[in-house]
Amino acid sequence: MQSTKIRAITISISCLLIVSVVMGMGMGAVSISPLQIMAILVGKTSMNTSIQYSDVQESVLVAIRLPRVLLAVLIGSSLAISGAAMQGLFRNPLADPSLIGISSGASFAAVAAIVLGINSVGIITSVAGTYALSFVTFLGALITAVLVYRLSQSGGKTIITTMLLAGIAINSLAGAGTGLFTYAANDAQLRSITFWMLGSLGGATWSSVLGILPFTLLPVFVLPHFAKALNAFSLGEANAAHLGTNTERVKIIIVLLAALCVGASVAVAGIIGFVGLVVPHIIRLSIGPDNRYLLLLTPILGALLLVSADLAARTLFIPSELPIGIITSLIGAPFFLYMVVKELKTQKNF
Amino acid sequence: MLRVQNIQFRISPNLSLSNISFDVQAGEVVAILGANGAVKSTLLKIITGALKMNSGNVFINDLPISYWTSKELSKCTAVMQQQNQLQLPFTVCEVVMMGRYPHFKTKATLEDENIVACVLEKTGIQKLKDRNYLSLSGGEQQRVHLARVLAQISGKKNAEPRYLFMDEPSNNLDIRHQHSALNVAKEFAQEGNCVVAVLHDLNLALQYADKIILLKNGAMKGFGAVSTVMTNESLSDVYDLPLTIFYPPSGSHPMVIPFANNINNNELINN
Repeated sequence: MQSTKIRAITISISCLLIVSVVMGMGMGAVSISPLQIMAILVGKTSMNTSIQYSDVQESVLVAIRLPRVLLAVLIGSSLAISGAAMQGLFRNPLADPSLIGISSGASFAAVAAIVLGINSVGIITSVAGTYALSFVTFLGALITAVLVYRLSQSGGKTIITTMLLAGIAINSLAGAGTGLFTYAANDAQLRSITFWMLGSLGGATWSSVLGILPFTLLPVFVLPHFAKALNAFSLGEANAAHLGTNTERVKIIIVLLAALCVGASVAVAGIIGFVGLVVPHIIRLSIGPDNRYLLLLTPILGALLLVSADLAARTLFIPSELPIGIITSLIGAPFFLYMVVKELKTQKNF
Repeated sequence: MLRVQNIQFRISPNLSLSNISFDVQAGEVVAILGANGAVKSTLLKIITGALKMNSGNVFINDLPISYWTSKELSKCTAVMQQQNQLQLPFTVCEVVMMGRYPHFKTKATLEDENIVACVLEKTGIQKLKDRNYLSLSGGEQQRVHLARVLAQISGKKNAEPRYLFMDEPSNNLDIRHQHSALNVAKEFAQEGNCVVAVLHDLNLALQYADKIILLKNGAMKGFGAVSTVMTNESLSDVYDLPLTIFYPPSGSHPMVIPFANNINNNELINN
């Protein structure tokens, strides 16, 4: 039965997520065993335990690994669910925030903000700075999302080629804009930009975790309520309205929430592509397109994917560290090509 | 009952719907007929609330359509569109269940399940119920949407009629399924509901409709019972083609036959 299958998948990817989180906290230059992790976390709050751990282990876990893993969980889950929701809205499985230009719009906004004035010193290190940068990237993401949506809609249908071409145009436009601002930046700003553009979770601190917490949790908890509306959307906007969906409200809320979490994650981690594309697709392959289950499972798998990708990014070539965007693109780009080929085939069949 | 009063709607400088008035009583099937570009689909969009008219009134159960929220409207009216854009691999059963969405919050009730099973049978697609929608033929997909809109307005009834609006329901269907689709619509009407359908096939209209709305270039050329509105003259005028209504000696329904001008009409009429 479908429901038992869904339950089994939910349980297994949740278990894998827990395992990957423990591995993410334990593995690296300083290794910490699962028992020690527990002891440190419990010891932090109260009682003594018999398990021994060093001060180095404690500070590595609390100050570096824990915020980093939490950041990966927050960004992975929210990028994945906003990808799924965007795909529902565009009625097409290829709509991914990084592919259609939303992420680069956000990153352009961030660079512009750094050069044009947000105090470049404190940006990435304080909660308020994270909020400010998040807000700016959110605006950038929002404007590009609305633009791409408007461009790609025609007569209640999403024109896929327009959507992808608009994405290419916006990506290169934002790239050019980012380049211009980099060119105009002074040395201090340039350092800020470079540091930020590296796009990894390496800069994770408790303030970046707290900085994006509201913007990433909101989509994860609100979007599942739109599952039925998004299912109805797959019949076309007019049919969704005839099924009692307030289509304008659904569109506005989903674009806002997606822009919010893409903006927030770009603000602290740069562009991490393809999470929103690959994760929902894997879930659809295993349980079908019903958004009522899709929107519950994508955040779990998204978190799992990003925690594991980050683990690979920082442990494959110790002591140097790969930007996580490289890992997700290595997985995502071939996957995307495969999906494009498949999409072409189904179009031919009609 | 559905009451339409004096609809005006401008489409382009040279084309507009004007002075459209008619009403549909419970139990009736009303067909909208007219040539391509007669503004039939636009009229249907206006009376279902998908487009806002420039002036005029549409009353559903004596309440102006602008007073209805889309949520309330979706519980008693369903619209079957000419084209459907589903591109995701839902199963047939899931698509039909979408018709019940206005009636449940998150989880379908037993009643919803029963209604879905019932309409699957009515539309003859119960064998397809676990199939992937995308793997179906155009005609089969059309029947799935028929089942979906029926599911939307089936179930426990109160005194008010429910409304089924169809734009070209016979699209893609073979002759057998064209008739079974209209039979289903007719049965639905006879349970005390209203059906309004845009039809291209005049013979289907002659056979199933109770009343006819004739449109030409956005103007209403006639509204009333089939026998009074569908005449040789009115049809020939609306379609710009000589058309003759013909009563087959052994058939129960009249038929419409087109004649090219060079064929002698008398021959067939004399038969």
